[in-house]
Amino acid sequence: MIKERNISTSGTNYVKIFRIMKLMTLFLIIGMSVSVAAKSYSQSTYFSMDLNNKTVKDVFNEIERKSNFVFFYYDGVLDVKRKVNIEASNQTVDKILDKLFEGTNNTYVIDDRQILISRKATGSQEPITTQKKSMLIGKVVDETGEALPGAAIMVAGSTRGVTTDIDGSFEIEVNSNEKITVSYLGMKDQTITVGNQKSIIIKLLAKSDELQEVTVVAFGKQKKESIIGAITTISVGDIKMPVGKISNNLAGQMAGIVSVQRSGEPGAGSDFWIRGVSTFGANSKPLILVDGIERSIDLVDYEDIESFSILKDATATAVYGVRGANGIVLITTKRGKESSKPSINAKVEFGALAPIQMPELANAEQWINYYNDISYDNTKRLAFSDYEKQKYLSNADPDLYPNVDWMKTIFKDATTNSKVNLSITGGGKVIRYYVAGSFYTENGIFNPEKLKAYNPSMRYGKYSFRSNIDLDITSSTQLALNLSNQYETKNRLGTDIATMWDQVLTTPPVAIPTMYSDGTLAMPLVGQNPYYSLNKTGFSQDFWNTSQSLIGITQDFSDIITPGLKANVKFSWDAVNESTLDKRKNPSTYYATGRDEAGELILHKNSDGSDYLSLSRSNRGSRTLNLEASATYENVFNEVHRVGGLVLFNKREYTNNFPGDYIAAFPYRNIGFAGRATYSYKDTYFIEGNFGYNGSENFAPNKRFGFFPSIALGYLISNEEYFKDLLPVINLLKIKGSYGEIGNDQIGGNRRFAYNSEMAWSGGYRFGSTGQQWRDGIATGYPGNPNVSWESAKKSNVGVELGLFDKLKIQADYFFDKREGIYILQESVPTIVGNNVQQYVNLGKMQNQGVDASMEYTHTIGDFYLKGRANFTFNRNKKLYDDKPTPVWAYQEEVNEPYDQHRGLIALGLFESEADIANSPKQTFNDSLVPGDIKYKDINGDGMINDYDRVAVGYTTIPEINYGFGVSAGWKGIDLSVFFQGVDNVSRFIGGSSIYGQLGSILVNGQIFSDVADKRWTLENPNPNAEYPRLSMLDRPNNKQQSTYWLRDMSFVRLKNAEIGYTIPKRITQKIGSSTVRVYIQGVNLLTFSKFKLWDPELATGNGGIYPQMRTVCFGLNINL
Amino acid sequence: MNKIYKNMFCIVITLLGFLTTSCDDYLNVELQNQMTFDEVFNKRQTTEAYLAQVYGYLPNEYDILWGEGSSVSRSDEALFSWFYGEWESNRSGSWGVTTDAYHNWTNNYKGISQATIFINNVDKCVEIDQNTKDVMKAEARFVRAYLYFVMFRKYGPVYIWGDNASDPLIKPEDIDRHSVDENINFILSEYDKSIAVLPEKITDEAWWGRLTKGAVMAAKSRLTLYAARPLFNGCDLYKGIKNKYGEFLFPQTPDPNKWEEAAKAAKAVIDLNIYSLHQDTQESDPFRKAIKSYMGIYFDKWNEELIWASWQSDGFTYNVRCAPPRVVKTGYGGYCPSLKLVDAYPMGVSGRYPVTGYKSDGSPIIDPKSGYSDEGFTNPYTHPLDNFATINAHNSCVGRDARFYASILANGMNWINTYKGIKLVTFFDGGTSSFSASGDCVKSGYLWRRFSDPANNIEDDKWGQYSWPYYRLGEIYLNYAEACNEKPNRNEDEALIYINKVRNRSGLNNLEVAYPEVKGNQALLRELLRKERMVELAFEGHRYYDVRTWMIGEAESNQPNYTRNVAATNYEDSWERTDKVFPGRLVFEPKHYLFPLHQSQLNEMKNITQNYGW
Repeated sequence: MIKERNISTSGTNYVKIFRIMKLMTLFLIIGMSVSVAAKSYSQSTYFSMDLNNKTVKDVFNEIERKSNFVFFYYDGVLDVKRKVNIEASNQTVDKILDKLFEGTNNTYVIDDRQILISRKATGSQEPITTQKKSMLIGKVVDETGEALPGAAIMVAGSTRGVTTDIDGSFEIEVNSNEKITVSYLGMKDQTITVGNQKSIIIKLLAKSDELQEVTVVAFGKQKKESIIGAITTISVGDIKMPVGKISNNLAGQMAGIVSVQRSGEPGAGSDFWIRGVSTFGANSKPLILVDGIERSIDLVDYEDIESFSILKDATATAVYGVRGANGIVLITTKRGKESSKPSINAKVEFGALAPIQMPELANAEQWINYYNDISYDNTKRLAFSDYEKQKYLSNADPDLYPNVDWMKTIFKDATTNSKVNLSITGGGKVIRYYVAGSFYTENGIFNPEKLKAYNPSMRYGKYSFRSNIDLDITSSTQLALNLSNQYETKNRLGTDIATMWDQVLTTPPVAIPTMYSDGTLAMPLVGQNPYYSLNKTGFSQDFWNTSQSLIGITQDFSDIITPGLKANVKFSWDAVNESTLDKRKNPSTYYATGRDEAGELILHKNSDGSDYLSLSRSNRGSRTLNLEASATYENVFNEVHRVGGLVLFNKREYTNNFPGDYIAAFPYRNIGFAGRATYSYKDTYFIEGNFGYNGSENFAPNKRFGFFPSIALGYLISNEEYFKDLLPVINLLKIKGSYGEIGNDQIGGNRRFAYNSEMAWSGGYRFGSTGQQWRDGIATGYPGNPNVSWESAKKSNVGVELGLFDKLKIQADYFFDKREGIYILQESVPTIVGNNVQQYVNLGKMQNQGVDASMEYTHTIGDFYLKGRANFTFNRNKKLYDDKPTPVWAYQEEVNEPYDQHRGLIALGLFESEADIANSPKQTFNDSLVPGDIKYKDINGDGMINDYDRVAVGYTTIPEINYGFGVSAGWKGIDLSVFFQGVDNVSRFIGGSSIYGQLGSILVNGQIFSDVADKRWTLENPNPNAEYPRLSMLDRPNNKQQSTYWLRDMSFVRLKNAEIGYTIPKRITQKIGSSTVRVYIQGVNLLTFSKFKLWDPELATGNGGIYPQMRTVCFGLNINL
Repeated sequence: MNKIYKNMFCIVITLLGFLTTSCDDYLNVELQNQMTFDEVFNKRQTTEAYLAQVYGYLPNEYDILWGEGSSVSRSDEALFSWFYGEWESNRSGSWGVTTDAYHNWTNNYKGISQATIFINNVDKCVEIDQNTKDVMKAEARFVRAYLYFVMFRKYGPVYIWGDNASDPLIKPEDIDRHSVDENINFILSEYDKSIAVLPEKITDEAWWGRLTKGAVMAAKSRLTLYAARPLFNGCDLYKGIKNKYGEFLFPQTPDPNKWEEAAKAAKAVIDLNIYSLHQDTQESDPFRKAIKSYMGIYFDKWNEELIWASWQSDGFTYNVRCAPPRVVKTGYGGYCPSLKLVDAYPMGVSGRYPVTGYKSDGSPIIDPKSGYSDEGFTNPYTHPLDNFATINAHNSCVGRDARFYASILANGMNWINTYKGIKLVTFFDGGTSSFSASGDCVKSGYLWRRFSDPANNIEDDKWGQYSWPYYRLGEIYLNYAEACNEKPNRNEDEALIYINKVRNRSGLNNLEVAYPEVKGNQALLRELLRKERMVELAFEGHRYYDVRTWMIGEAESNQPNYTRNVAATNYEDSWERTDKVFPGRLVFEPKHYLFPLHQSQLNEMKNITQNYGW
């Protein structure tokens, strides 16, 4: 983006160059072109002027002032002080210049907005005789016009050569029939026929910008315009957000991604699917490939990512065969580029984090009122007298009458994170490198007391490095070596996080003091003390280390066998080591029952504990080997037939280093061949076929291998001759479609090798005279099913790509995915068959269809640029067959409904009176009902409300609609961007004792939400429309049923990312030897709009007890050297 | 050309990638380390283990709280102290087709399938001789038939696979229950096949507990008896119900000849002459000997009365619930006989059953000839067995038959042994094992002591072990007596002979001495046989099914839960009869003669026929 800005601020820059050039005593130059977008600026710009007795210089100034023209000339070429009279009315610049140079030996060339002034060639206009050597003067610049010092200029076929000076200029003696070759590190070589030119400006193009034209696809790259599969690529800049795991940044960013972040715990990632959930089998998650190897997405630092794309349809994924059915994420990491000097990029970020929303719990007064209410309701007496209530509220005796805000005690308001990134990239003709390292740390929001002995604070840290090296062994042989390592640590509480949350949510403010005032550890006789759990129970340390290595050789056979043929062999070895140390203690606790005569607390010990940390340890680990060999071919015949091909062999072996049993110790293996053939005619008609032929060790020998074909067709209408006239409006129009079959071998079930019958030691009997002869039994175990195989997905996709005015690009796809052979429990086998182990079979069926679409808009006016983007994904799945017995009532069938569809009763509100209860169908969940209880609808009209009245309600917890939209804008050095993300068609049941009341031990476990305390049905305010029903000390199962009463719409829109940055002008940064310096402030999750108010709607919780999502504001500094 | 040479190694590596691997080898997994089906049936050890597994499906009838023996807790012979629990909802009638407890359908069919697999494969074993294999097959055959019987007595007729392996491809909608006759005939024919092969005795002590000819004959006796009784022999209640195949599920008319079958089956066991009623040989005092003879059925392991028993190595779970809370170190106290069972024990001298019925207020109608008194106390009184110290005995506990003292630990008696000294047990509020509204206590006023061997020092964690009888000769005698009284060719003398054998063992006089009017009175003999059966086989899992197969559920069961008034705060008052201590009733509706098929079975097999009333 910085580069783009430099190009567009041409006016100022060229004036500056003009000043510099003036100092030089060189000749004229021609032939520089920067922009291709504007046409014939000189013929569309008109001048009116009336200048008398002014110098030529004045005329130039006047033209520059009134337009974007810039004059280029070297000192001495013309007499700028010559006085002239110019009179013009609505004339183009050439007319004015013709008049200006009339009768002089000067001439000019207009190249867009640049006007180059030179001397007319002396002598005749005839070409200079070819044999005569003459001096050629020139300058070598890059795309932005910056001079390139040290570029090599060679006369082709000779040994003559020079290099450019510090200002990029050169001088060489050449014949007019000779060619010169200009080369520079990191730039594409250029060969130029000199002809009769005397001076020349040579613009070299960078070598590496190929990504602009190609898209990363399975096992390769393809030209963007020839892509006819459903592939979405995102600009890596859009997913750079200051968080620990990249999966948390994907929500709303790409058409086709369905993503949910279920916890905000440091180090936690997100769950995401491509085009939603297409199977109710074991694995619906996409395959993630980093540099072609299956690896964890969250181990990749986003700063290291070169390209990020998702493959969505059959044609894009078929080559992955048995593993591609759920879509694929392809990530490639950055590689070194030829350059004259290393490019160093450093980035430092410091952030402040605060929960988006913490549950708000009842304060002491609310809670006492609530407890008194339910106590009076059930026993006709108040639990706390006014006197006692005042004792609690006044805080006069916090030992016996505690009043603790547990939220504030356990959690901090805010915490911090920081990230440091450093990357160095560069290289020469032979070796190129990208080396990067980063450090990320995030602290938790728990607020324990830090002791010298140990620190239970939550803190996640990740150190990683990556080194990608390319080595040209010969001119056609390239060796690549990728090494990376991720080292993660986490420190956490001695109490399990879920337990900690549960305690905070359930412990009333008056239950127990944090500690007694004399320092004695407090714990109620029944119940918990969250403060104790946080501070006194020890801590845990997790450690993960992942090392990933890859070596690859690519051989270009273009010169040996046939042009366009390449072969590649890749071998990778990854290893993961993990360990957890749990250091625990449980010091003795006490509870007070009053004060003795001396006023001292009467304390009772709960039980003996340990003041010393104990240790337990666990280890996990795995290793993975990959081998891949491929050959690719690409060529164009007769300039219209573009042909491409790929054949590939790969195998993979994953081994668990700590297997739990004999079967788990077998490595997980895949092997396969894949192929692709592409053909396009005139780059307008496209056809592509792909296949994967591969297998998995999971299945019976004759069921191991599968053939997965796909085909796609595309038509780039805007490339047609007849479309030419429409191009200014519709610059791109492509339609495409694909169909194919893909597999999914991650089918689950509860065991591997399901084809194999197992016998199990099971049961037994006791025989013998005294019965001491226990005989172990053997039974048939898992029945072997030789037909067990992968799930198969039949995927279709149709799409359109549309470009308007060169500014707006729209892509839309419709997809339909039918999954068969989902591996499920065979539940239709009746119990009388007596299978002692239920068998899994490939019987499940499901379909998933939807649309995903995206839109991009770019607009530039002078220094100002504006980019907008938006995407939308909708998918709806339904189960087609699940082998469950047919229910008594047809509406209870799960088939033909979305997977994981919420089911529940339909609530009609609260009962208003005894008469209301008597006149309603009998609700069977409670023995008796009272006004204020939830009233349900009798679905089947049998006069009873029971389990048969449960129907599909709401949606599922995975949103059907996912969208994102944002704009970014820049002006000069300032850039600004905002991005919103939202989901819809998502719902969740809420519940838990903090919402519908605790049963038993209410005094120590009965905390409720503040919202519940305020809005519940009460005897004083028997509001039949209350948001929460009548709470009770007694068990009220009627009110805890899953029903629409507890179903909440969890849709939301959030300001996912907002960023404002300033790039310090180069004239300042260059002084400190840096090319760009940018400072920025970035905010993540700044605003969330949702109907649901109790906690963040994205969290995976029905009771609010989960680590909240974080709102982050971070300050960053990015320096490029 | 030099260039090509240079690049040769790249090409070689590329090719290596393709060639070094044979795809199938790469994916082959060496699973040889795993036991296979064929291997199991090849070797003796594993074949025996498979049979042990089949045995393992035999129901746990010793567990009277949760296991198959829970019929005790659900019948009118017991009143356990706990309010909660499925047994209580079962007694009070507040259960239904979705209540999960006590359903054994699924597990029994698993056992049936496993037994069939064994029967169909055991012949493959090369390490076992054919004769032994035939015996093993007969054992599995019996277990399979017995599992059908276990379902049959609970649900009525069920689906019968017969000798076929179960078919996993069977269409659920085609399944329905086979008729009562088909069920009984199949089970009996399987029993007969086993009887033909099984040995009369297990000679190798290491294998005691395995099935014998006598065991299966005893099973046949009980099944033929059930088949002859009204519930499965043409009762009106289940008339007219047809299964989906169009057959009547239950016999439409009674067939009295089934009593003949029952008599024959019982007599066949008796005629084996292998078993005899257990007699104590140590005691000289006739009454103490009578008590110990009856107690010894449980405490003398593998005694001569047991036809088939299973070893129970863990006496804790049973006996801890028979131990008075707080009197002993660990006692839960919940296993209580009902007041009705306590009332049923005959009087030692007259030999008559003291309570002939109950008035509407729950007070007993006392047979004046019996010599029983429900009022007043005898102080001092010496317990005929536990003569540790004299006690202040309620008169209802005085002069009862031997089995009363072997079975009942009443309020005011001493704990059964004196390892920790003599401990008086009183159940009233404030007593040594005090009543309390919640927590462990004894609610009926009596604890079940028949399983508590005085030799076990439970306070030293010695809870005992038992050879628990599936079948014993005492039952067979009563089966035979009942059949003789009922069969078309009624044989009253035989009936009296065999009921008297049972009574005499416990020191009672002959029935016709106690009740001269019984001679020639089939109905009275029937009633007395039922009383005798209730007493002799108390807590052995018979009463629940006897009441149902006799179809006397409504008469026997619909009553409040009467207890002694242990909520009283003194010993004397705690002997009043009351229905206040244990609220609720034992409810019996006609549908309760059989269990309902569970909802999950109805769901999976849409056309299966539900039982009457459910």
